[in-house]
Amino acid sequence: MIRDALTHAVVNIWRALGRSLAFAAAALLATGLLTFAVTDARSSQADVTGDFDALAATHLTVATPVRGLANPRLDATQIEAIRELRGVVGVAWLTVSEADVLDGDGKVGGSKVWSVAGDASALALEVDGRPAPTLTRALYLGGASDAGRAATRFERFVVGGTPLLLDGEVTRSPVLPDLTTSAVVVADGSTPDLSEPGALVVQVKPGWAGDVGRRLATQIAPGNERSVLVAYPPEPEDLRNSVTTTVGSLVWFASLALLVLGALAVAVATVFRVLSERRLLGLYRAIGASGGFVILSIVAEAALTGAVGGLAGAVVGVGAAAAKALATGTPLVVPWILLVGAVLCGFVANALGAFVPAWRSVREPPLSAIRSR
Amino acid sequence: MTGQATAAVELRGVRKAFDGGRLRVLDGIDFTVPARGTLALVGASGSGKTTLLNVLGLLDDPDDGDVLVDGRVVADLDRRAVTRLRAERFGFVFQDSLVDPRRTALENVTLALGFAGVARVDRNESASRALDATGVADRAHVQAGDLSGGERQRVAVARAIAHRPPVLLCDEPTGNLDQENTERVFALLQRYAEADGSVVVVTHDLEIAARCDRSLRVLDGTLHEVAAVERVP
Repeated sequence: MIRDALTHAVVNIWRALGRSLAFAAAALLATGLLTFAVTDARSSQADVTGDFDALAATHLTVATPVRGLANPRLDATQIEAIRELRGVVGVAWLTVSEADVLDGDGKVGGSKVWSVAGDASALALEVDGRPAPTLTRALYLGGASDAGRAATRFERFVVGGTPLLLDGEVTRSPVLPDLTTSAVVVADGSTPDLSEPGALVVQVKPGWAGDVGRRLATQIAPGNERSVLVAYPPEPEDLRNSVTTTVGSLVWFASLALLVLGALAVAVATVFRVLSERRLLGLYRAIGASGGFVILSIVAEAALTGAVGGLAGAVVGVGAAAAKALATGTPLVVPWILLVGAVLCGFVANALGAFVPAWRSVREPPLSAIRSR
Repeated sequence: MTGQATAAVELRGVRKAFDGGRLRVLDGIDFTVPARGTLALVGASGSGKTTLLNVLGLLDDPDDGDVLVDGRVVADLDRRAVTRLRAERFGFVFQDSLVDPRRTALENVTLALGFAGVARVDRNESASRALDATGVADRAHVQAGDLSGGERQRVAVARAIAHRPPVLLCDEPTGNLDQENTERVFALLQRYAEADGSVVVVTHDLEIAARCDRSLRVLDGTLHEVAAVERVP
């Protein structure tokens, strides 16, 4: 019976191609709108998230010296533990001192000298106008310093009595602006001593500052966290969560509304279809078709056309969302799982939408159906 | 009447009323459909001819009384068994040449054979034989919607007789046909009644009724034999 009913449904789809296409087009429209709305909303959500990420703190700074520590020098294990914290990208530590800087003319100038160790990339420095992920050699001069301005003429400097070659000019230092007015030297491999003036800089992923900040103090001074002041720009985390949650809710609401409307449209269309075939269905029943055959063939026809239309709609919807993303320069985020769910829901909604009128049709006495006009 | 006297379907004290019992259509009908021959049911509109045909064909349940098919009381069977019994033991021909217009003549017949439980491999052969018997074999692969009214009705007869049911129930089978097609279709029914089973025809056409082996008038919920002299036009 099942094979006969499915064959019957396929023949119906093929022989009544116009009607099948109309059903498929309805499913295409519903799923296409749904897919476009969901994909576009997800892309917008990603865009909004990106905007918030741009505002989010990406660096935490602990100014040193930190008072009251029993053991102010962090060991390698502690540094590694900080690197292992979720959300941490890198850790750099710096000490600062005053020193004489002699340029090629032998002129003496006082300057702050920052000694950098750890992951220099955490400082987000620009050297000579380019990002400097690593600092591999000895001396960098802040472009805004006296020595920095002199660097255009000289390559050899003596810093605190140590002769050094100039490696570049620090043109931008967003985390520690002081570096643009100082001399920066690459330190040896020693671990940070928190009793000395300087800073510990931790680079984090956007949105992780608060989380890492709470754990960082514990890593630096276990049992004495209050003595550690972790500084970072105010986080728009709550606002970000609120906005993305609202957008997410709207996406779900719109998706659900479209699904319900699509299912209703299919149900109404199927009611009319069943009414238009009332005599034929009555005939089938009269000559021995079981109720299961009639219901299955109607539901299978709606479900098959719905599935085909739904798949096509998903492709069209994603295509439209992609075109819009391309035109507006926003990121395209395709929620594949949601998309598969939408097509499946369209399939099920079509099947359910067809079930009720199909079930009603088999409840009618066959002869009444045959004699109807 | 030709053929044997064995009962194919039997009604015992069948009653059927509508409108909350106010309109009594069948009132204690005792009636036997023999195994062979043609039987006409005539009567005025609303007299209960179609109701009787529905009850005979297991399309409607009586309010009271029993319907027996092959000696089995139908009321004792479940719904599925009744559907199966109807598909296997009865053939139906309806007014208006009712066929599925989207299917070919052959497909219309094979579909009904499927309902009657005929194995898939045998359906095409049986359907072709039935279409041949009704004279529309050359139109087997034409969609029914493209056939003439007479051809469609002959396809409907082929669909009804393909599985060789013991009883053929026809509701105004020639009602919308011209004279030539009326003759063709009625000849088919007569031929079936002579060789394969019983044919019950509900008709307003007294000429058709007169050519049946037996004719019954439905009047006031009961059946009355129509005398031969009355049946001759």
